Amino acid sequence: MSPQVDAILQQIERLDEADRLLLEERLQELAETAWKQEAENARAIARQRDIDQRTIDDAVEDLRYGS
Amino acid sequence: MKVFFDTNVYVAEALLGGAAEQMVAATIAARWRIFSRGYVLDETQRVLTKKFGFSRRFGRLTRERARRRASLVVPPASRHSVPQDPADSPVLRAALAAGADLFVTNDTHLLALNPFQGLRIISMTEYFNMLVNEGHIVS
Repeated sequence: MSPQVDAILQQIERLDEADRLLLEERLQELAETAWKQEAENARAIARQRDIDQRTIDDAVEDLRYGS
Repeated sequence: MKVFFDTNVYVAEALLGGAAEQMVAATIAARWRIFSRGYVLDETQRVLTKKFGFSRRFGRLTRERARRRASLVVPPASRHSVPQDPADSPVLRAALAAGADLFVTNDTHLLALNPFQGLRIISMTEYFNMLVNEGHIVS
């Protein structure tokens, strides 16, 4: 763990409950935004590769049962 | 209502959006409880990265997103685990342990077991139509 991360964690530990909840909320919003950006790119690639529900279902069963 | 989504739902939500995205959103909006287990989240990540070759970052973000919206269950270990037996599926055992009302999957092996020990196992299409019929999704 880098000193910067360690310092941030120590700061978080000193936050009161309200600020900690706000921080958690903000981190979730950031994670959601990051996911949406990645999903947009992934969906464009999926369309190019003709990935549909059937392809997904086959991939899940292949991984699960090795069919 | 307690709902357990199989891996198919999370992968489709991530890669296709559309109906899968609508059904998860409608489930949350209806304040129904979503259950999952680490096995399903791991599998979701592996299908995205290993089967379809998407980035580790996307796999991880998708896993974490599913985790945030679900209550995780840890089913008791199977006493006599039968690899590749659908009735002994870790996913099915988790749905049962959660006390789920509905298990939504497109796994043909698991759909063939419906109903299973009181658990209703339905396809993604059936679940979507159910949400439409009940007014949770406006088609």
